[in-house]
Amino acid sequence: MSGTLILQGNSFDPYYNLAVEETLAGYCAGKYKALYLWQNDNTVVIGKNQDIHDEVDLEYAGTHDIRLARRVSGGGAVYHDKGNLNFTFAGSQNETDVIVRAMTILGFNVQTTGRNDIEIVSDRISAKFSGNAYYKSGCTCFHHGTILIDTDFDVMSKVLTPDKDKLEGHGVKSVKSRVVNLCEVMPTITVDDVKSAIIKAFEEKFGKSDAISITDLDASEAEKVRVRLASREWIYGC
Amino acid sequence: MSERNDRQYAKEHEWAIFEEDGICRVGISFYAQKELGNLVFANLPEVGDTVTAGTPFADVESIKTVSDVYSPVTGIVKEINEALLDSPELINEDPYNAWFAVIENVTDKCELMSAEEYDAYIETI
Repeated sequence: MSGTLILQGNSFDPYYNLAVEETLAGYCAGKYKALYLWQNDNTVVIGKNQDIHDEVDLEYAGTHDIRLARRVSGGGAVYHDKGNLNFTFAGSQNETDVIVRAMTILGFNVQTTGRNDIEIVSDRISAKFSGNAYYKSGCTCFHHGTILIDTDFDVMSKVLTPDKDKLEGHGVKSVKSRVVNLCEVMPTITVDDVKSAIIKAFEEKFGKSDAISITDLDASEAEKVRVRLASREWIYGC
Repeated sequence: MSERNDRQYAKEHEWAIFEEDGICRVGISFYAQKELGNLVFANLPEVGDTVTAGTPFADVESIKTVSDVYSPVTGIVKEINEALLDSPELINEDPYNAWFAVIENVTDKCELMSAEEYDAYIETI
C-alpha cells in the first residue's frame, strides 16, 4: 500500500460519517495521509466548544427533521445537506492548498482568509464557500472542511442563529459569513465534479493513492465512536 | 533559552513541577502556546478524575483548532485552575503561571526533560 489513501463515504448519516472520520484519523496516525469525501443530509454540525442553544434554532431543527451533531474540531456551526460536500485530510494538519488547487482546476478564482476559510473572488462577488477546522491529539490529526455547491441557504439561515445574543455561557461563538454556492458562479457544476477535482489535486500533490473502503477500517471501533458522537451528552453537553 | 528551568517538560509540550511528595502541578510550555496561537477555549478535567501519563486530560481551542493536552503524570486531579475556563488567554499571556491542574497520588510519569533538553528537542521538530 502507498502512503496515501482515498476513501469515499457511502452514508448520509452525520454520526456514522464523523465516526468514520475519527476512526480513519486513528488508522492513519503517523503512517498514512488520507483523503475522505463525504456528505451529510440535513444536519447542523457545531464546533467542539460551542453552546448548541446559542448556535441553533432547536425548534426549527426539530420541525424540519434536521439532525444535530457536534464535531471534535474547533470553529463554528455549519449546515450540511446534499448540496454540500465535506472533505477530510486525515494524517495532515493543513492541506488548504489542495482545495485551492481543486478549485483552480474547476476554473474558480479563490483565496484563503485569515480565519482559514476559502472565498470565491470575482468582479461581482467575494464570499465564503468553504469553512475549515482542525483537530490534533499527539500524532492523530486531521484538517476538514465544507464546500457549498448547491446548499439550501434558506434552511441554513433559519436553523443557524449566530447572532443570537446570550449573556451567560462562554462557548466559542460562530462568526456569520457571507456565503456563496459554487453553482451560483458555475451553474452546471455537480458534487461529482468537485469530488473528481479534489482527488486530482490530492494525487498531484501526493502521487497516485490507493482507494480504500469503509470495510478496511475497524468496524467495532467506528461503532464505539458513533455511539459516543450520537449521545445526548456529547451533542448537548449535558 | 525560552523555557524556564524550574520545571520539567514532556515531549507533548507540557510542563510539570513536582511540589511535594506525590503532588505535581501541570501546564503547557511557552513553545506550545506560541505554536497553538491565541486560545479561545480550555477544557479541564474535573477534581477527582484519574489522569494517566501520556494520555489526553484537557484540550484547548485556538482559531478553529482543537488540540488535546496530555498529562505528564498518572494520578488524581486535586485542583484545577478555574480561571482558565473563563480566560483561556491567560495561557498565552503567561504559560508558566497558567497551570492547568494539580495532580496528587502521582504513581507514574512520562519521560521528562530538563529545560535545556527540551529546548534542544524543540530545535529538532
